[in-house]
Amino acid sequence: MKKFSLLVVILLFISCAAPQYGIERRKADYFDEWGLVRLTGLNVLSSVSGVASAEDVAPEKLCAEFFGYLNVYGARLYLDDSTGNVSLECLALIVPIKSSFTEGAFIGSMKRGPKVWVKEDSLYHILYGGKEIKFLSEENLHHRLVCQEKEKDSCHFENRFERERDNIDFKGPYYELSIPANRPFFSLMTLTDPKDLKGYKPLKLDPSILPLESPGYKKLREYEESLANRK
Amino acid sequence: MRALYIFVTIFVALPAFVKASCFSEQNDEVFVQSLSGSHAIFEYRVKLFSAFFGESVFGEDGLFVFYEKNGLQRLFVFDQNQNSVKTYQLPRLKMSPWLNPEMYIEKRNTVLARKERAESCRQTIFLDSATHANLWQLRMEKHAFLSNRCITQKNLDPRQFNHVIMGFMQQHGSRKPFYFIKFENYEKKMPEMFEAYTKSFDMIENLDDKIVFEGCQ
Repeated sequence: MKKFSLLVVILLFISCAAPQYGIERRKADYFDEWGLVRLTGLNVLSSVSGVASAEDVAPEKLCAEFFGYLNVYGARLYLDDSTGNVSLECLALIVPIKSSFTEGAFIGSMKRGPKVWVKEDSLYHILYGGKEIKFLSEENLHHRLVCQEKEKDSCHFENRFERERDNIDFKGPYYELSIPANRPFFSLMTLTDPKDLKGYKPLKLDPSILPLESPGYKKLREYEESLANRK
Repeated sequence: MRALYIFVTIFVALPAFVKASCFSEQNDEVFVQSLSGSHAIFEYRVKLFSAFFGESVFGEDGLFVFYEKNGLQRLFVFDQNQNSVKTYQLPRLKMSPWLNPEMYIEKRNTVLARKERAESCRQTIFLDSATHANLWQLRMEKHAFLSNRCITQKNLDPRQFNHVIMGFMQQHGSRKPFYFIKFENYEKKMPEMFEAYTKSFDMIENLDDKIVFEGCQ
């Protein structure tokens, strides 16, 4: 028992000491022609001050942390000229044959956790629960609070989601939004709640290691260079 | 013990499920349905080739195969009743969409606007009768898709995204689509289903190697 307690204390200590990372804004761009999703974490923040090492902030690792485990084929951390801060870019492919950006990558990258979606009238309707997503995009997503109760049993949803009631296994308040389907290009931007980033500071990296590219990104960049030089 | 048995069974069976979800079984209605949606990926290629060569390219029945490799896009139109193959090539862009899609689209729009070059980017070739017969025996449209999900992590190379065969069989106004991504056969024993994809790539690559479009840069 003593050994177990010691282990718990050590693990607790490690978890407290490890830096946490956050992003101020997240942007998702979807290119239907290739099923390509580009996720950008604008202004990467760290819970600890000081210069982070390249190992601490491996781009693919940050992509998974911020956007979930996607089929990321390339990622990089770069210095954003407009803000002077470090930003993250993650490039992912969703199954290219389905042309459906609700396949986890797009919506999942904006809002982690369970959600329910229905396609109706050339629109993807998404129902999610918990903290409200703060959208910065100008797109009219018809984003609204549909029920402020915590329990679904106290809520009545639109018919399309009443039919999905058994799949709603998450707590309220409940929000709904609608995204047009069949668009060659679609872009969304959201703002992280500043309260969740209290005490975080802009991530500092040795400028000589930037842009910091994942192995997949580096491979593709080299491939691009070979294409440009091809006769 | 029973829990352990269930766990081991699931663990052993899991790869089989993963494999099964990445390539299509013959006549698999679910996958074919997802491919033939109004917004299927090949529709973009139809628009591109129509924009450069005119819509008449897709007017007849036949097997339409888009082949993409190293940023170069070609279209082969096979006719079951004759051994002639109409071939088309879009001008080389010297880039791929994977790192900077906006720049790729902009560059492509500029290049495709110069339609006077189209004549040098099309030609008709002829197959020998054995190749013609072998091609029609492949039935690409019966093997609807092979995606990069089929390829295990150790042999996944992002450059493969740019190495694909896609297209459709057009008959009496309906289109049966297919989409194959190139894979490297590192596995000792691949499921038999992969044979159709390997043969398709061998045949199209062989054909592709023989064609040169002089003046289509």
